[in-house]
Parts: sequence; C-alpha cells; structure tokens
Amino acid sequence: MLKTKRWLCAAVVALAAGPVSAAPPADLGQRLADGYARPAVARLAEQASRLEQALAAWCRDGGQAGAQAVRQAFGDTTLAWAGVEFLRFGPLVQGNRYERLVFWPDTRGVMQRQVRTLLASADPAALAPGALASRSVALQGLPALEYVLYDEPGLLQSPGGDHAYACRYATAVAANVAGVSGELRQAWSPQGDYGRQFTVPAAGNDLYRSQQEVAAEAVKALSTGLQFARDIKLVPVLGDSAQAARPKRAAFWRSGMTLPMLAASVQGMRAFYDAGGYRYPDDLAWIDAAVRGELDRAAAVLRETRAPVQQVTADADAWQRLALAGLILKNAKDIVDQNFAPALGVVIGFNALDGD
Amino acid sequence: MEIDRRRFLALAAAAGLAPATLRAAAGSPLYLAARRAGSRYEAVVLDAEGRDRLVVPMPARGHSFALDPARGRAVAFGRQPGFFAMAFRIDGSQPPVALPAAPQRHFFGHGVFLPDGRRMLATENHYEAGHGVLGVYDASAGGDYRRIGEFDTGGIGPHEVVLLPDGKTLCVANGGILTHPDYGKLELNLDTMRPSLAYVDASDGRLLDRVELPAQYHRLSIRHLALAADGAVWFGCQHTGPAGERPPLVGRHRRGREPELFAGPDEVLRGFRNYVGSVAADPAGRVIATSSPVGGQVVYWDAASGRCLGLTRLADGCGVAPLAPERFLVNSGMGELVRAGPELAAHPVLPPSPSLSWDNHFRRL
Repeated sequence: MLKTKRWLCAAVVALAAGPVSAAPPADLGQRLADGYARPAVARLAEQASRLEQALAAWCRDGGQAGAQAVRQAFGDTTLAWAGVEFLRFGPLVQGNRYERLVFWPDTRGVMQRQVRTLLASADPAALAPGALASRSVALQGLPALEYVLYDEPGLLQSPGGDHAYACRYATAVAANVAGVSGELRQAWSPQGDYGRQFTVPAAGNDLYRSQQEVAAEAVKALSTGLQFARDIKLVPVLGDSAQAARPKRAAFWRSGMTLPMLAASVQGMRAFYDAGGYRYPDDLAWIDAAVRGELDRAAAVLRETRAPVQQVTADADAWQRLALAGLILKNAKDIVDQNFAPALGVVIGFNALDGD
Repeated sequence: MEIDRRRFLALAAAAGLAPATLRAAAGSPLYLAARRAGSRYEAVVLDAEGRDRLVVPMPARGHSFALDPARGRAVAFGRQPGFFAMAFRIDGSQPPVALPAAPQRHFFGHGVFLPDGRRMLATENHYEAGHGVLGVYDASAGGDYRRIGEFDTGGIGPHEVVLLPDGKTLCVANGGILTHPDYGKLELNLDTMRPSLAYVDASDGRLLDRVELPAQYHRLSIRHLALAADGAVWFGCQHTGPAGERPPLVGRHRRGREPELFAGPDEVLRGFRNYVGSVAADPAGRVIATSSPVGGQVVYWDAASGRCLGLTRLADGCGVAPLAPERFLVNSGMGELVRAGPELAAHPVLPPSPSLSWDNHFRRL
C-alpha cells in the first residue's frame, strides 16, 4: 500500500503552460516571497545564528543550562529548516546549498564515515573560519551536527569527556549553516537577483517571464514537497508493517526531531499555499478547502503521534497513524497535481512529470 | 486495434514470411513505444500511421527497447527503477517472456542486442554498491534470456546504451546520478556527480575509453544517445543544477577527440528547460532530433556542422523516431503522434487523447 517506486525529480518536473481555466494572482510571486519564502529563510538564518552562539558559549562554559540551550537551539533550527526544505528551487539549489545544509538521505553512510575521520584526525585547519565550506557537503550541515551532538561522540550526553575538538567542530558546522542560510536570505531579498525576478516576472527576465511560470514553480514545489514528505521520509521508514519498520532510515532520528520536523514541513506547505492567495471560480472552489484540509489533517496526525519515530517498530498504534499520514499526503499530492495545477493553468505532462 | 493485429498476423501466417520480409511486405517500417492506455501500461508495435500491430501488456510503466530486427525480436524495459523487462517477438508469434531484475539490480530502461543475436545487454543499477553495470543476457536460441554476467560501465547511473557501427563497441551514457530504489529517482549525489560517456567492448566488457565533459559541466547528466551517419555519437543531457544556469544540452563525440557541445540560439536553449528526454537520428543519419517534454519542443541539428536547424513545438513531446530523410515521427505524453522535421509544420497522425500517454522513447525497428 505504501510502497512506491517513482520519484518526481525536483530538477526536472515538467510544467508547461496549458489551457488556462484560471489565471494565477497577478502578484503571485510577490505574495509567495513576502508571505512565505522570505520570512521562512530569515527564520532559518536567525535560528542557525542562535545555535552557533549557544554552541560557542556551551563549548566554552559547559553546564546543564548551556546544554539545554544547545538542545533547544538545535531543535528550533531543524524546525526552521523544515519550513524551507521544500523551496527546492532557485537559491536553495544553487552552489549545492541544499546538500550543504542537509545532506540526506545518505544511503551510503557518507556523513558518519567522514565525521568520524575528521574527529579522529582533529585537523585544526578544518575549523578555521569558513574552512568547512570547501570540505565535503556531508561534513557541513545539520545531519553532521546532529551526529556529533547526539550520537558520536554524543556531546550532549557525555559533556564530561575530552571533546574540545568535536565541540569546536559542532560550532563551526553551526556557523556554516548560518552562513549558507544567510546567503539564502540575501538571494530571496528584494536586493537579490533571484528575489527580484521571482517577485516581478517580466518578458526580459532570464528566469521567470510571467506569473504563469511562477505558478508552475509554486505547484512544483508543493507537489514535490508532498512527495518527498511521503515517499522519502515516511515510506522507507514504515515498510509494510510495524515489524518491518526501519526507524534509522528516518531523517533526524537521533535528536528525536523526525516527526516534529515532518509536521512543521507540512504546516509550512500549508502556509506556502495560503500565501499564494489563490482564487477559484465557483465550481472549483472546493479545491481550496481540499488542499488546506488535507494538509491540516496530515500535520495534525503527525503532531499527535507522540511516540518518537524509533518506537514505530514496537508501537502498532504509532505505525498506523504514520501510515495514515502517508495516505493523506498522497491524497494531498493528487489534489495538487490533478486539480490545483490545472486550475492555475499549469499542466503536468506524463513525461515531463517524471523525468527519465 | 485488434482487427489490425489479427489481419497482420493472418497475413504473416498466410505468407509464411520471416519478420524481416514481412516488414518489407508491409511497405512501411515498424515502430516501438511504451505507453499508458487508460490505466494499463503497454509496449506497442505500430506502423508509421500510428496503427497498433502488436500490444504487449506490461506490469508497470515501460521505457525503451533493445531491438533485434534481423530476428524480429525486442525487449521492453521497465522505467527506472525498473524491476522487469519483457522479451517478445515483433509478430506476436510467441508469448512474451518476463525477465526479472537480478538481485540488488534494477533496469534503467535501455539495452541493445548484439548483431549476432546471441547477447542482449541492458543498463542496470547495482544499487547497493552504487555503480552502473551492463547486465549480459543469453539471447541465443534456447538461452531463455538467462543473465550470464555483467560488465562495469565505468560510472554511476548508466542510462542509454548504443552499439557503434563496428558491431562490437558499446557506448554508454553514464548519467552520473546516484539513486537507490528505496528513494525512487531522488538524486543522492548532486554535489559529486561525474557523468561520462563510456566505450565498452561488447564481447568482454573491457572499458576502452571514458570521456567526461569539462569540469564546469559536472551536473550535466548525459542520458540519451543516437548515432550519426559518420559514426559520431550524439548525446542529450539533463542539467541538475539551478534553472538559471543554461549549459548546452546537446553534444557530439568522436572517438579520440574531445566532446563538442552545441547550444543553439539562446531562446531555443532556454526552451529546453535544461532537459533533453530523447535523441534520434533521421534514417540518413544527417539530422539529429532532440526532444524536451519539459519545454515542449523538439529541436533539430545538422549532424555535420552542429548547426541548429529549427524546432517543432509539442506539449509533453518526447518520443522521436526516424521516418524519412529530415523527417521524424514524434509522440507525446498527451497521446499525440505527428510527422515533423526541420522546416516542416507538424502534421498530425494521431490526435491528443486524454487516455493515451506515450513514454519517452519511440524506436524504429
């Protein structure tokens, strides 16, 4: 039921303008940028800076309160990321920013291997300001930070050990995340080239020449975001039954942030949809309620699954709830693809949809 | 459809003709494509008028084919990540044979028969190891398409493979993108992609040559191939970098030389939306067609000079197959089939249909 073998490539989803049954709002790009993307990337940049500060202070002073501040700041940063990750176009796919922030899924265990090697070498050059940016993307982002905080050496669990290098590495990762997020904020801003083109599509633009093209980008972001949430984050974890579940396939399982992040991501997609201010003719007005309703239901189911994701193997009830969330996400994506997209005059082609 | 097929088979039986003769008798070449019809997936043999000659049901969406025209056979591959392939006779004289994927391998959707008909090779993902292979299948009489080995393709994500005119050298497009079927087509290595063209000895799998594009194009996934009359390999790419980057997507390679890339006019390049879904040469091998379903255009190139010769617009158009000199058949995910070419207005053969979608590739037997 939950098995799926098809993935909609973010890079190649195909959306051609088709017969227009409804036009996108004339200021769609402006609405999406001001109403969602700009605040979302700003929040990520701010949270990452706070995380860097909390880590720097804790590495220096230690203490329970400091550790709690780090834990809190890490969680807040991952939640902020959850609101940004589905904006996987424009600035986020430039210069490997997505992978630098979160290199995941990591089917070959690259991050773990590289972090261990780095910690064993304790190479001071890697921690010079800005130096991480030129290292492997697997060393640069939130999964690596989570690994050193919660797993190996598990700074938050064993603060007593001699982990000065690991702590400084953690701080350097947070600084790198803050740096990349700052670039995102700049690129989306009215001063940024991307932000300008997205908000004011025009015939002479290189990237977006009409609100129709902006609408295609928005539909694609929602559609692929929903697919990612289900096919990449949920399905591989759930397997066919609670017994077959593989909780270590989950994103951010070490910090217990898997489900809160997934819920935050779906809520983010709902807010991104809302920001568009889409208007429908009467006979299509149900689409609006259906999209919002499915996203709200999915987010609620995820929020209310209190058990951490590691427990889905033992907790049949939690497994059922997550399976239900997967079904709702699938339905939401179907509505986006089959109803919302054409209502905006966006046609998703059979071949263009699923690049090969 | 059924009547056509019955008539075709009856004709074949009455005449007692070998498939190759039959093809000539029919007066027009045969074509193959995968499609979705209603909720069914099928591989189809059809004629240049778009009439079905044979329909092979498929368990899931198909992609492209390995062709053995001399013996009237073909193998249809499941679309990536494909866990099945179907071998069948073009005249439908025997039931299709399913080829399951080998353990820890899936099909990428392309393959070739060797001219002697004894081997069929398919591009596959050894996904636990994370590298590309050519599965080698026994296609001899009584071989049952048993998988008898595999060759390394010298890269990740081998997509299309073609046999060079010498009949013994394979050219493989290693797209460079690491995928794992647990995550569908999600790209797992965008930061470290290294696409390449690999030349492989078809008899023993020796890697004869491996060609990469300049480093700035490391996110330009080389995917689809066609041969020009002079033996040059033409390739079509998909750019996985930001939409604002517009690298050239079409290129040509001759053994022993550097690959050449052709951008065409700016607006044509922009119209590809960084995506080429299929590449084909006309029957004379002088005009190359490259399609983009994402951009809804098919663009033609002069194989000798690399000059852009013009384009045909077709929404979700992807499958291109040779028809006549400077002429192609093009089909689309919207069910359309047209005759088209440089300096020719698209001429409809089959109208758009809400219940019919042609997959990426359209092959002439």
